[in-house]
Amino acid sequence: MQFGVFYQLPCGEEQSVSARYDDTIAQARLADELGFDNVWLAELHFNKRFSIMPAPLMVGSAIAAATQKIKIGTAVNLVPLHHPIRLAEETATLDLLSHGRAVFGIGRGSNPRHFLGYNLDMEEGRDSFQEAVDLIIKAWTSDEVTHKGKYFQVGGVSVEPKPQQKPHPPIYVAANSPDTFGLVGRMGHSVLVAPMISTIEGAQAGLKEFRRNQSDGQVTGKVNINVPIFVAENRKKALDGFEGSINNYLGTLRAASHGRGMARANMLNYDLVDADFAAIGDPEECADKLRQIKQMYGADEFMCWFNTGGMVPGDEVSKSMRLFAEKVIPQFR
Amino acid sequence: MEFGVFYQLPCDEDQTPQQRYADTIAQSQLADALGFDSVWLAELHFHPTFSITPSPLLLASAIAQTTKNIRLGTAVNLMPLHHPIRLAEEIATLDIISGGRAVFGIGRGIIPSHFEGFGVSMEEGRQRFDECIRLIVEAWTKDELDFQGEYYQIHDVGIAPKPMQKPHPPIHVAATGADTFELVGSMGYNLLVAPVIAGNEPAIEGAKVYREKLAQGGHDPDKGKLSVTLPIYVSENRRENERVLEETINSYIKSVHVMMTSPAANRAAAVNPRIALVQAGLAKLNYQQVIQDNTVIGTPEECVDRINYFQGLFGAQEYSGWFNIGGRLPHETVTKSMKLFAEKVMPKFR
Repeated sequence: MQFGVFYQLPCGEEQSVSARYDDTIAQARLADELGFDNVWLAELHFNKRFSIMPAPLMVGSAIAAATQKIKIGTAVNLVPLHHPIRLAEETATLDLLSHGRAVFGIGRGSNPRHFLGYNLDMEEGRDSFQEAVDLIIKAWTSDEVTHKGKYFQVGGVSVEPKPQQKPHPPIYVAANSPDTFGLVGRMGHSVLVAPMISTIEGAQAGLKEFRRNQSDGQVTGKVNINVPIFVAENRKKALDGFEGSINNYLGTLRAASHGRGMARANMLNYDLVDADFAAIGDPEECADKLRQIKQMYGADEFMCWFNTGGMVPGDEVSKSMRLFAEKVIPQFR
Repeated sequence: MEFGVFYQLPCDEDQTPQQRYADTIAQSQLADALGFDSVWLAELHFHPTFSITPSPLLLASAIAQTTKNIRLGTAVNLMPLHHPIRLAEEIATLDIISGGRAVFGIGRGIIPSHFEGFGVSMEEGRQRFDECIRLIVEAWTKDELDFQGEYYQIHDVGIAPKPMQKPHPPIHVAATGADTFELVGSMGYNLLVAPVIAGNEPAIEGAKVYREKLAQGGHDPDKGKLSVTLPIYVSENRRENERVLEETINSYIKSVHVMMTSPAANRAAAVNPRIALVQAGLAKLNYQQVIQDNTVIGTPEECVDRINYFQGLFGAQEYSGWFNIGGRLPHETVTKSMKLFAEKVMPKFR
């Protein structure tokens, strides 16, 4: 069982942008020391309260310089907002700078504001996803790339440098909508699932599609489940410590007034998040909850979201991460 | 006077990208400790023997973690190959994670294969370039964009984060052709020049035109900063110099020739006078000419004289040392030369 730490990096009016970045890099360093397997960094745009991290690969490079072993993944790069050749180059560069620790996490994007800000058509963008991913893999694995597709034309160039990992860094695709789950299964990649957004039923039905669509009948990719986590000495402390931050997360989604997240946030509250999607409590309670979640989805990996909402102070996040690494992770290894 | 270090980062068959990156990060750390003012990183694609830095902003993010004071500049981001909104976000991110040390260097691009690889036309030229810079500055300085350009129409969104430097990081534009020197001056930005690429005479003439256009455009000519990139090599041993440099400069020239005589380059030169001019200039590039015209090579005393000579020609505010043009010098040779330069040459100009 693998455990990663996830960052979306919201920044409230009273928080400092620099401090949020500094905390993230410091916590990634701590996660590396504590033996977490991955740090996952989101790409999100145009909404400071929700995230100030439009360029996760740059934060990944900074983290690479500050850590030794931890793998560095995007969760996720929004493929339609990138030129595939540049995304191939950047991920290869991160792989080299980190000596083979890059993980390529990608998504199709579902937030209309992202496409608006990039002056792009959302339907076209989502449609171009598979061509873009195929082109990226070609760029990593072929000496010379020539491509005449529906969306991209590349005239005979060597895309360099190549990644350190051969044939290329592992690929994870985020899935929310049912058609994406099936697509990821057909492509043979690993899948990133956030049940809090896709609902329990949606995630379970989607994973069924993911498994049913494997081309050789056997599941080759991993199933990674995102879980908000707060560990403390007792459940009351943990519940009190997380409430404001989770409510900030839900409130920010509701205020955004667009996209899938808003519709979902309107159906959620702290009690529901605690009951169905998060692991909040003392180490034993958290371990029990994770065993339950693992079973519900057939999870191979967890993406631990220690600061959903971004309002938990840095020292409390570190404390929760330490308790988790010392008392919860060993139960799964 | 300020001093920088410049990296184009070629990687030959017998070198590894990992080692080339590691050396660059270590040398940037040394440059920071020695008191250099900036490190400049090129963006170049598709020709590993010429360069393996398609993503200088990732490399700069790693360098930001291991340095304290040195400024981190791109020399240059190739504007036509980027989405301006993403570039604005990325430079802002670098500015934040470096504590306000980002410098935004941009250029129009002169290597035809870059445009074929990204499926972008080389012909759109200065109008698009001008629009992209204005869009980026607006993205950095306004809460919500209200931008109605010919190429981009973006309203009601604002980027986050904004840069730490206010109103925004310094903007430097690279010029090789006469029209670009004019453009940079009339827009009021800082200027980057590499005489190895532009040629001494065109670069000197270009710098003059740049200053005239600054004044004509109502900009304060004293605020327009000129940064000149020159290959630099310092050694106490007089005879060592040229012998050590011959291999690496020839390696550079060879990689330029391969790139600028590619089928893509020939196709572009046939229809684009700007490219034809660059191609013709670079075809004449040879070791003797580079050594005589465009370099600072010698003992510390000779290098001081040489910088005084260039200063007479350019009147620049910054010289950026290309301490490993061609990339063939071993790491230890480069650091020795950088240390001598910082200890015995730089103090004469401070």
